[in-house]
Amino acid sequence: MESLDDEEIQRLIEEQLKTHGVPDVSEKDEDARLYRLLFTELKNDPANAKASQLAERVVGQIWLKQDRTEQIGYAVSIFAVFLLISGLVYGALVFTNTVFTGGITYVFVAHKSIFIFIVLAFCAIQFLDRYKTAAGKLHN
Amino acid sequence: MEEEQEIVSRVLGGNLDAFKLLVRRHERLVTAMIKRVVGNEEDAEDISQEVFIKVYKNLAQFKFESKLSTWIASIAYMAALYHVRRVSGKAALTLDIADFEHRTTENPENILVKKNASEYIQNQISKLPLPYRTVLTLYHLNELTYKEIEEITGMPEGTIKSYLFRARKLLKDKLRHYYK
Repeated sequence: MESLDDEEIQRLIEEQLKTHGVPDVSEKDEDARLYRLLFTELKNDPANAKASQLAERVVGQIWLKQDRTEQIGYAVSIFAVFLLISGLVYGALVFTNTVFTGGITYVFVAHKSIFIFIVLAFCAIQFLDRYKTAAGKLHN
Repeated sequence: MEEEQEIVSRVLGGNLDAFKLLVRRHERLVTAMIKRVVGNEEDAEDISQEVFIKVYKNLAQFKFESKLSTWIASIAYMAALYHVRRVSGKAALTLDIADFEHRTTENPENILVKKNASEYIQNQISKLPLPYRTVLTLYHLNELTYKEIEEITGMPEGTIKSYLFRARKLLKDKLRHYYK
């Protein structure tokens, strides 16, 4: 019988709280009083008390992921364009002036570390520039 | 519903401000449920973040066959369950109420939270078996209907009603102890 009573009290209090109506359950009834307190507390979310920046954090994460993909694509395309232009220039020189091309090849081979450094530094500057712009946008 | 469709189409068009709005609208639903299921605030924040990133990635698959909130809540529910299963094992998902019913109310932790009825109730909710605290949260805190809870958790409506009744009764009995 006890569970039936509880069921009835729960139903009545729930209806009353929904309609903000007059209590059908006596406030002197201990179970009713406890259920009323419980139903009110069940609507409280203690975690909600502090301000959350969830939306900002989620969007920041998405934006960073998107930007990282774009950055990689950008770095690859810059490198590809650089190689293509170098190839075309070299090809044109081979076609027009063999002696000069031989000299160029000699200089390239002799100072290859400097040329590799120039290419890598160029890519790094482009990459860092985009990263800095991206970080600036994220903080704004 | 039309406004939801408008927001979703803006998000799919790459508008991150629209997604920010979508997150703010469903933040309480997701964080409250995950926090109750997982029981750890820091983990709950990380999981909530992952849930919304998942929502963003899969939004194109949402066909408005249900409410957006129900779809998001089901993603959150699955993520929270996965976390609990990974951290605490399958045993944490069972309905073992014996421990809850027979736990003494006079241990040092409970004496401390006894100072405040509200804190005491929240503490007791966190100790309920996982299916109980899930339905309690979705029904009372998120104000979802039985039908919506059924869609999210996959539990039949009868089971949801039964869990709700039993969870409230267990908590009421704990409250009686509290005031003795």
